[in-house]
Amino acid sequence: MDKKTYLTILRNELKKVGVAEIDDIINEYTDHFDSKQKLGKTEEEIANKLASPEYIAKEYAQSIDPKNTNPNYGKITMTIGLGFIDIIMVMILIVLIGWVIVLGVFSITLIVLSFLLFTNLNIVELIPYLPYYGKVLIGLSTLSLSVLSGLGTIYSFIYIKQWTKVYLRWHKNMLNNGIYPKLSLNPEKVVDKINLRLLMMISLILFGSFLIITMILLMIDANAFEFWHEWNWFQ
Amino acid sequence: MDIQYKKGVLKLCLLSLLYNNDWYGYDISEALSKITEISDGTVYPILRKMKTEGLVNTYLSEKSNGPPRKYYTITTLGKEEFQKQAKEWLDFSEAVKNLIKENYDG
Repeated sequence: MDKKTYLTILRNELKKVGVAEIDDIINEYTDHFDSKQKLGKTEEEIANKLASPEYIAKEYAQSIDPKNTNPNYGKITMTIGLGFIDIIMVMILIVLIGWVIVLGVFSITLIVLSFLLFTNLNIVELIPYLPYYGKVLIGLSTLSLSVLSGLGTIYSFIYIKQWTKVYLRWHKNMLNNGIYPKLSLNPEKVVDKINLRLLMMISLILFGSFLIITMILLMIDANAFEFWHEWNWFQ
Repeated sequence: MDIQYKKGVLKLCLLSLLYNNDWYGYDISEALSKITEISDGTVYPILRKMKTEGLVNTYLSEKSNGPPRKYYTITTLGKEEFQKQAKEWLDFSEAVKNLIKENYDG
């Protein structure tokens, strides 16, 4: 590991554990590197002899003086106060979970709908008249939308889970003079790995394009802008 | 030697080191690595903790070549803490020495 990598990792780890005056700490380690380099050591050698950035960040997190970071409220007052905040947070959590469920059900419904369109089934007579190619195209559009909302469901779920963790950690810290490292509001790198954002973008574009193409084709086919009137959809 | 055990003693060593002279952070790290086997860089978090506890202070000193260096200096509270801890440590180590020397074959 070279000097730059070591210091970058250290800076990130320090941010993660919520240590103050990070620049000051980084200066200390930069000095350490510089002083050893003057003695003819290579950056690699120096970094190898240093404790890992993760370990050092943890040591700094532990060295935060509890008296400085948190005023000493009475434990009972604190517990009661937190109890009220907990009630509000649980209500917000219920709403958020509700959102995930609704989005999930919506995605499943879309998948079922696209399946019905592809197979030309019309179980409850809900789907109005459409030429078969129109059904397939609308089906593809619906499928893209279901991918989009499905990913949205996963995304929301991951974030809500992380926020819940952050809140629980904060709660624990309030009762323990802030000794545990703070958590980031952003979930770990899992989200980036699957590249959800790109997938969502693609499914959104597919959804839009299929929809517009189908509309245009149907207009030409029915020889009218409002093709739904031609085929008596609403009667 | 056990790390947690060492850390307690390290604080005492640092106070002793700083008792009569101000030290540059890097030099403290070097001096300590000569007497113990702790990894490089682990002394800075301890110094930081001692600063928040009010045992030491820091100041920047301009140098003719290169950026200013951060120096550590002991506070009155640090000196009092040293006297207290040094006594505890010497009493304790004396007791330990008496207890273990009768069984030691070296």
